[in-house]
Amino acid sequence: MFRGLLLLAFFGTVKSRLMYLYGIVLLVWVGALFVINNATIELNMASNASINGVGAFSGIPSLASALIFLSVFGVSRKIPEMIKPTLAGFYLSKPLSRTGFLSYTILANTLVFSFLILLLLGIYGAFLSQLFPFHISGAEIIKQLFLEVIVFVIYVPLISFLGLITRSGSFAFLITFAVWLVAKILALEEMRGFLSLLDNNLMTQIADVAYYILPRSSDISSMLATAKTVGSDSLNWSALLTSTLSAVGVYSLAVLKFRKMDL
Amino acid sequence: MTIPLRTTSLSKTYHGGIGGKGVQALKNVSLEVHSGEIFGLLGPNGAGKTTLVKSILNIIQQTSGSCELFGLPPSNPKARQKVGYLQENHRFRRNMTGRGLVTLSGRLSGMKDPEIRERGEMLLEKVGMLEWADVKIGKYSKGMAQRVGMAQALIHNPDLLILDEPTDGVDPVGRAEIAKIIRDLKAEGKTALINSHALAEVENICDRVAILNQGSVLTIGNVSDLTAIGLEYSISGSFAETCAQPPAEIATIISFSSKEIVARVANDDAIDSLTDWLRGQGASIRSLTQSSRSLETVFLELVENARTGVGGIRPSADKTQVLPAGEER
Repeated sequence: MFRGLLLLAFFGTVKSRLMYLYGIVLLVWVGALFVINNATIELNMASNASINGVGAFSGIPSLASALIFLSVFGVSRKIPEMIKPTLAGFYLSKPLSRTGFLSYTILANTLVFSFLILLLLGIYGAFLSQLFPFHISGAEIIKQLFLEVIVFVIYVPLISFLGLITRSGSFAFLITFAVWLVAKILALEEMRGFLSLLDNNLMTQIADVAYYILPRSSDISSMLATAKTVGSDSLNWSALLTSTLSAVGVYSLAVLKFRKMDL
Repeated sequence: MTIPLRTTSLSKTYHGGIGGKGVQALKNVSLEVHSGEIFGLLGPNGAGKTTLVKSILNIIQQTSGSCELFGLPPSNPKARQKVGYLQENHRFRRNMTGRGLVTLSGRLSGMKDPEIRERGEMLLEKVGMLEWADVKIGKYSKGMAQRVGMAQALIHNPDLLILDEPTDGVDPVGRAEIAKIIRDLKAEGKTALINSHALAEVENICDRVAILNQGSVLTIGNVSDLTAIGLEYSISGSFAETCAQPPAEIATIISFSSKEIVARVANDDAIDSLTDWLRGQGASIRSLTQSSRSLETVFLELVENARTGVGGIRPSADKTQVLPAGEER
């Protein structure tokens, strides 16, 4: 049954117009690499890379952000589409529990979109390695690619839950985007400074709670860079831990909601 | 043998949200669908038929009462393993082919691919869609989508088929084909629950029907019993004028001609007395049939009676014109 939903998610995505956007984004980033390469700024890049190894693969987080944006958009439509009154009966009449159906659907879409992100980032990484072979470690690229995929994965339960309660892909996507924005703002050092200036204890506490509850995509994405910046060999896993707990919590809410829903 | 479908005092109230007024869509609906029968669900729009079907399949959750599919609650996936369902107003993915839909349905029902391929081909041919199997559903007419919908509902060889408006949008040829498929399933010992507005089809296909109105069951019964007009008989043959006035304790003539008599007998046993008396008058009897009305007439009467607060089925003879003896209809 999971295979059926996985293949449905895969072919549904591959056949969708969203694939054109993925292609365009990859072309733009790879094109930019060639432009940078041909502009004979290798010397500058090399010096940057030798000073800070992170700089050489800084194109990956920005491409990853674009791919995650597209993937979250893609996933946002999946659940509302499946629970439409004109289609829900088809799925729910099958011999699969509601928890199983929702979990398999979320898992199938997570795997398909993660694969897409990983594939496209891998293609970009391959170009990057070819064009700047002396300054980038393959292991570092691979670690960074997986961190970017994790950033996407921790958003999937949230967008699925929002898709269930709003029954609209557009609303779910907009709310997720707002959550991402708030989490991004809360992660800024400037925000910390601003809150301390306000001298409002309640506001600071709310911001702290929100910071740890919301997916900490920025912190996860920059885990490697942060470790290099501070010269530490070990990574700070707290962002990954709190975000995973938050994702599990939201997934549980989604299951509870779905089990009681009239469709 | 386990009863394929049973509901007991099933009720469903849709809540109207904050401050909103709830709507009671089902009120204590109790019915049983027996193994091997074709059961029809009838009712005007808003009667609660689709709500009942969705409750049976756990697509919506009942407020009170219970439902069982093969002795199990419908929330149990094992209960739905034996059920095939064609949804009303379905909108399958437009970019999927008919074959793709049937394959997906098979996979979601736990079938292996070789089995799906073999059975899928057979079913697509049976519903007349093999030629169009690799065309995208978005290009199908409504009738074609219904036929493919039938194939996907049957892919895992279910014991109970639940069809919500199966012939909606299907042309007369397609309707006849779908009716044939349902009859074939009955011949194979399968059970079907059909929710339909097409009363003539229901009358032809179904063994029993339930008529719903405003969430309540008005009546459940055999189609032949519901459409039969109690003690009214039509007798054809050759009749002399003396046959026009039988003794009152035997029967009352409703209409009379030299070739046909329509009579209402005094009781169930009186039909024998009437035929004996007619023969005694020199009549030659060729056939004797219990008068019946269409299911549509029964349905309209029941719904109208429910609306006006009159209980039960009104005696059909009230609507039959009573002609003086000797006058031909």
